[in-house]
Amino acid sequence: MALKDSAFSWFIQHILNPKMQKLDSPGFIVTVVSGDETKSYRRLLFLEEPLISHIEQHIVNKYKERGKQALYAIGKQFGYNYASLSNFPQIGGTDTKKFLTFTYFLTRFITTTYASAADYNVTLKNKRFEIEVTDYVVCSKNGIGYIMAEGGISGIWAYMVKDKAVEGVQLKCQGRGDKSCIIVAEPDAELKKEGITHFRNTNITLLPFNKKYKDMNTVRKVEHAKNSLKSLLDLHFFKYEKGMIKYHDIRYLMVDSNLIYIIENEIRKLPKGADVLFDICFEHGKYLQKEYGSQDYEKFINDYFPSLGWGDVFTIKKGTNIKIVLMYYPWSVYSDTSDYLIPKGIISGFISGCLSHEVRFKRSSGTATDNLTIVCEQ
Amino acid sequence: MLIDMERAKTGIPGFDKLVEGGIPRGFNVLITGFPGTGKTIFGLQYLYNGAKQGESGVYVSLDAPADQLKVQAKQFGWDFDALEKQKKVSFVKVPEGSIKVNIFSMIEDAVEETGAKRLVFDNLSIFHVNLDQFVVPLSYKTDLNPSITVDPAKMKDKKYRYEVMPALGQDPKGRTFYTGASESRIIYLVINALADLRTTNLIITDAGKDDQLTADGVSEYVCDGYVTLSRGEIGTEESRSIQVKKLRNTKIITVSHNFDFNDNGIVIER
Repeated sequence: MALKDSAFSWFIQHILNPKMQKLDSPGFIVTVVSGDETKSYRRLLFLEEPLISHIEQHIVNKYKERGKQALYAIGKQFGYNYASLSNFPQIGGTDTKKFLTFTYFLTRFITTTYASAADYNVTLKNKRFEIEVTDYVVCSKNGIGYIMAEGGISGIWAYMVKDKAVEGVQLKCQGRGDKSCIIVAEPDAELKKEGITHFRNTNITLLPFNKKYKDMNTVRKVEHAKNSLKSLLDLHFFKYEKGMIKYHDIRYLMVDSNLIYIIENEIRKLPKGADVLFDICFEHGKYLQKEYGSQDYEKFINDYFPSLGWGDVFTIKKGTNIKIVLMYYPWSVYSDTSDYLIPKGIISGFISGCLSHEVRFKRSSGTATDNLTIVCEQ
Repeated sequence: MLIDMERAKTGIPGFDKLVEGGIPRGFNVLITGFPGTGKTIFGLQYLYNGAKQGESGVYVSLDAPADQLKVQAKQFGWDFDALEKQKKVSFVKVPEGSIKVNIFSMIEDAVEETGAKRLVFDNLSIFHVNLDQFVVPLSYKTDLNPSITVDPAKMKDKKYRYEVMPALGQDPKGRTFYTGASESRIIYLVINALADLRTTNLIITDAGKDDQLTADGVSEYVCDGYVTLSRGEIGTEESRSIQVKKLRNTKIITVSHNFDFNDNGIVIER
């Protein structure tokens, strides 16, 4: 089993991931969606792992149980949509053997992309999925992990077993001192029977992958950004390690771009959630500026953010007046109502770190004709 | 089974191990990259190291004057003036303002004079910019053009050989000339002409736009190998990398490697 596992992991890292992801267009990171007659691409982002852990820590500190619930909801929504958009098989829709084979493959994918070693167990009769992982992203750092661990895995499993009542719970956590992380996903009723306390969220919205999404997110040639993720990987700015990207010791997680919208939507529901999210991202931006030590924010913004999939990101300066433009920003059905708190907060914090005084790009306007362009102002 | 071949060691730290110890003798290897990526320095270092190993070389510059190249070289301690005096290196430069120049006769003469084993051709993209400046040998037949009488006494005059004869459509070896051809045809002929010299050649060219490896889109197919130099920045942080993408008859290491400049030139990191 060990040899087969390592062969699978190698296959995912060196064959499947490179084929699935297109990393060579500045401003865009996309994955090929299988199952379509013609090739379609889904927008991805590489997010700094500290961003997710900062969001989780601050939300839990401020909102306690309500915050944990919001983070869990984010994760479950994200995982459910990820499984749907990736055409994961569903029970009843495919034969059991294929379903179980896929589950094996999925586990290898999770451990190759988001963790190191893993073991898992499936009991189809109870719709139970249990996974044990080590060095799982985010939660191994901060001991929280509602988004990526409990929520994410429960969302994926809920989709696969066609039961939104499936919930997830983390029984053990490396970040909290255990040897590994153990996450269980099974229907709410079963968890109750076992006496396991858990969060609930059945309010899942399926995000469409339709013509509008494809048109708005089509890969295009950008005018300002020069760096693609591939070019920076080739130049060894970013190191590729076990399916994750690293730059200056910061790990980056590959996520569907819908995640940033899902995060904003859920946190805005919390009292003063919008301000809190902006502030968290602002501090994260300052953290990035400190880590990378760049003072030339115009150049850094144009070199860095496009390479992670944020579109063509650049600044326009007139005297002391600065505007941030994000062309070909990942579009979602949530774009119309989004306030783009995450990119605004991060870039505000980064520029503030460079200038040594605060600038907050709280205003933004978006135009969505054949692509989504956001202009952020102070 | 790989054939055992004699190889020219570049002597550039970290590079030869990427190409099984060196470049196969007589091969044309393309060195591509955007401006400022280090292609010229790579070529100069290759020649300098060759001269130090007892192998003479010729540097063909279609663009920068020899003096400028020598100044660039001096920052790494490479004294090309001294090597030129010792006839270990020769610089071939297209005379300014000239048209229809028989650059290949100039190159052949330089190779013969120095007994060169190595050659650097810098920069193939110049053809892209100024096709009319050069004449390119089309064929290698030795029959003379019967309508032109070659005056043996004038053959010692380089201007006659390089400029007058091409204008008449002839060259000392009886080859006919081809001008105003399509760029891809010219590139093909140029690379074949360089292969004919039996030197081990680095051919420098600019990288193409978008996904094209070279600006001309042809040379990477005609050459025996190609190496890409890249440079990028995030903010003020800079990185350079080199990647061997193809080299016939050679087990290459294709992974890109960072490189940098030290006091002695290019050093490729492990």
